[in-house]
Amino acid sequence: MNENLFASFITPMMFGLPLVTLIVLFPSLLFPTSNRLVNNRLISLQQWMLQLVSKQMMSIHTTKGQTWALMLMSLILFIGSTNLLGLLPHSFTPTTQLSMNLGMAIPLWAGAVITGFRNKTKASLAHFLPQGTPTPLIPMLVIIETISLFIQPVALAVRLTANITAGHLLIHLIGGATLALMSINTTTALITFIILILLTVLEFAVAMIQAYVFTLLVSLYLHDNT
Amino acid sequence: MDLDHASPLCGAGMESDCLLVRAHREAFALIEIMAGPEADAQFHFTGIKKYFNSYTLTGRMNCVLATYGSIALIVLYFKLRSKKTPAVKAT
Repeated sequence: MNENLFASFITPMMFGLPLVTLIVLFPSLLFPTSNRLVNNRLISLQQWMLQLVSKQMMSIHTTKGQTWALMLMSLILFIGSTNLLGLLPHSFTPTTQLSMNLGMAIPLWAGAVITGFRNKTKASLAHFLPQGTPTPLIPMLVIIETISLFIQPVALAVRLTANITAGHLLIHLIGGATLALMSINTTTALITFIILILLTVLEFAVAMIQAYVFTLLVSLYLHDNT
Repeated sequence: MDLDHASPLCGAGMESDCLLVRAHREAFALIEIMAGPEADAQFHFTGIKKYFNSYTLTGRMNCVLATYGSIALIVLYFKLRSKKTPAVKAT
């Protein structure tokens, strides 16, 4: 068990060809589009869900910020569906790869920050110094605020990677422990199995929450800059 | 907003400056100070404080730019100083 603990995080290959592209594109097959006025149940449910999320998330934004609605809705759908599909046994979860999460976080954060600097240069620069700071603390606080700005995309990516990876590892370990305990002590194995069930339920929640948190934070960075 | 009668916890016979009302007044003043760019007009600084302060938008921006400029100057100074240092001659 120990030697293949991290086997599920290795990017899958088939005959030397990477399958990652197919895996990343796969969730889009689960969200069909339709140009009919009255849709079937699946598409109606999908549209209802998208409307709920977009209303809740985009209501705080100005007109300029609301141009990002499509981007943010695609983001939450992608991360949510990828995380949930990763909970299937023996599947590969692209969001466990830090490279992929950095590839999502850095461009979105940079886009929001550059938009802010282009449209509200004075306010964006003034944002580095909290209002009412005592004079002797000004240089230190400017440096701290600059560092905290540049930490944002890293924190976004690492938060998603760590949460999903930790959850998968825990499921793997507790599942392995349950199997090992079956032949030793059935009662303990049963308790471990119940813990595994509860952990799986938790992981379902974490998968959706992390998608929401990632998108919400990008939305907040955009709100600060528009 | 009538802050003197804002709190229901201040009884009818109590002083208008009861603790809770004072806290409300201070919070409201703080909110007013932190209202944003449109509140810059209430600050009347003179001299260098007019351009470098941590209250107005312009002041904050200039402080930030001055900090970055100072850091750039310090880095530039150490870079140029290390080039001017003569090499140790072998004896």
